[in-house]
Amino acid sequence: MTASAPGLRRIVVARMKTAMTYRQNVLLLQVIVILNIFILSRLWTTLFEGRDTVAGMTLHTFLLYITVVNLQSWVFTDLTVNEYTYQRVRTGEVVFDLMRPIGFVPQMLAHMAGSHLFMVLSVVVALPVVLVVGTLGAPASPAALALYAPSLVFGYVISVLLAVLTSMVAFWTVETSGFTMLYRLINQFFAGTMLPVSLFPEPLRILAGLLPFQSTGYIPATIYVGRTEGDAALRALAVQGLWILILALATTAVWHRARRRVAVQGG
Amino acid sequence: MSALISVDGLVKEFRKVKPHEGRLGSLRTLFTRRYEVNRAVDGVSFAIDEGELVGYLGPNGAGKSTTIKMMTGIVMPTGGTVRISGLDPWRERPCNAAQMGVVFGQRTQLWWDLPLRESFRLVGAIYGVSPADYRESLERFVDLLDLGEFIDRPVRQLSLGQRMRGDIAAAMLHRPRVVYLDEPTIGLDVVAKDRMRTFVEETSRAGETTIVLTTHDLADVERLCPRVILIDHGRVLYDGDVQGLKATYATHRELVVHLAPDESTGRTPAVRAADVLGAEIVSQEQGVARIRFEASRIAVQHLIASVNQNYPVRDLSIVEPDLEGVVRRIYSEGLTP
Repeated sequence: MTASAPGLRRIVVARMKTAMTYRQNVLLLQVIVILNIFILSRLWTTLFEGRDTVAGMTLHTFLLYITVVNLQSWVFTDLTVNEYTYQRVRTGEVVFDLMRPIGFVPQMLAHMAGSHLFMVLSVVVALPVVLVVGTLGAPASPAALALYAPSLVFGYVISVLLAVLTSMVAFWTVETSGFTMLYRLINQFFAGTMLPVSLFPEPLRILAGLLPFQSTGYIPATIYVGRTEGDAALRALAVQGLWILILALATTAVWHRARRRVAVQGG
Repeated sequence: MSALISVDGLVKEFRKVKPHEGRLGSLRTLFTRRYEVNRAVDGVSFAIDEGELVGYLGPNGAGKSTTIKMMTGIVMPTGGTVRISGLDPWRERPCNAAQMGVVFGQRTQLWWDLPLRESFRLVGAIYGVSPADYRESLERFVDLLDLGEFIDRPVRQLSLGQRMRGDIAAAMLHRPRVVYLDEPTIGLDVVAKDRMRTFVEETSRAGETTIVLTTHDLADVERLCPRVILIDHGRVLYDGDVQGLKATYATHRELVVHLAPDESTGRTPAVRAADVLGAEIVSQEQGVARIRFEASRIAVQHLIASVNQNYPVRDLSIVEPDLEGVVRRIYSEGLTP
């Protein structure tokens, strides 16, 4: 692993440079996210009319939640590695990745790291605009911040594992763009980017509880705004940890089968 | 000394789902799967010594790429063994990967959106090339392949010839012991092809790099490869030098006769089969007769004498077989010397 560190670092750098060459694309993504936050904030402000709280949150808390969860999702639902894998498999260029002395999955992780680093930078740049169209504020309390930090990291790891897992679909089907779009929609909805999971109708809420997506959005964001605290927050962290374990095992198993598939069926 | 590359009884079978035919065929295929086994590589054996430059030939679908993929460790053999300097490419993939370089002419390992230089840096980092070695290697390749004028241009802006040169450099920057070149001259113009060949020739001459060259361009082979391995239907048909290949398979020469018109009638006569017994008249058009004969059975001077005696000859020439003709014959007719 240590021997491959310089190679992986180089992939991170090259990926950031690639993102830089496509900065119009990044700009467009910024516009989409900002618009998203703007529309949802207006919508919920209207829906709040005449009420003090919805789902136990004041308007300010609610809007803070919407802003935080969408900013997270901006980075977390990045599809760079899905597109990369799809292109590489489709053109057959994946053979070059497969014949490196470094494993394919570490290479994918490095691609994501580069892409995400660039996106975090673009989030920071966009923050002043977000402050105008959405609602930014400090975490609910020092305790909320202390719990938010690990929860955000866990959420990030989960979304990375999900991205690796879904990217590998490319090894089985030739066309993945439809799948990827559907996946992104499901991911964002169940992560609670449009409305908090607690407002979902009963069956959907149960479903959301069975899926990993709320661990990437809803859980860290509600911890941030102080809606999930104390024991509930610790339980949420445990659930996130469990998802990391499950997804890590699933990723290992699927990658094993994907590599075998290439090995047996020929690249 | 044992060989650097040894391939022994290598077999690769692919299993494909065989669809049911007729109505509801696709539905039946979904539930009851029938498999069709296709043997892409069927007992291939050969050994290549350190520093050799070997042409690996065969028609499309002969099993060349599958063999290469097994040697590079991407594809797992169904049977037989491959050893590259003692390593099993499938089981010891990372170690084997560190000492090899690969060019697939139809694909590129270069980073499409970034300057060419960036791809070189990546290769240097991935293979752990020290900064000093990297500088020296890069300088050499920039010099040999003339990369200077476009090394800072994004790869997507390069011409095919430039891209291919970049790909070769990227495959060899870490000084691999073994290099697999799969159609490195495909689609290149005459000048670019020549430059590529010169480069391969010079690299091989240094003696430190073992090169396996797969190509459909037999001019590449004639110029570069002292030795060829010819495969078809997953089996080795021939393993030896180019001269031997010609001697074994190209047993026929062709006598081309240009006939003059008959002085009295003004008509050009036709060569009759009876006057060239034992040989075969391949074609006869506009006063040019092409006569194919087996060099070991018919003495060429007798054939010429007979033709000269019976016909007004303007010009005579003997066509020696070229590699392309030989290989074309083997591909289309199979193994019959």
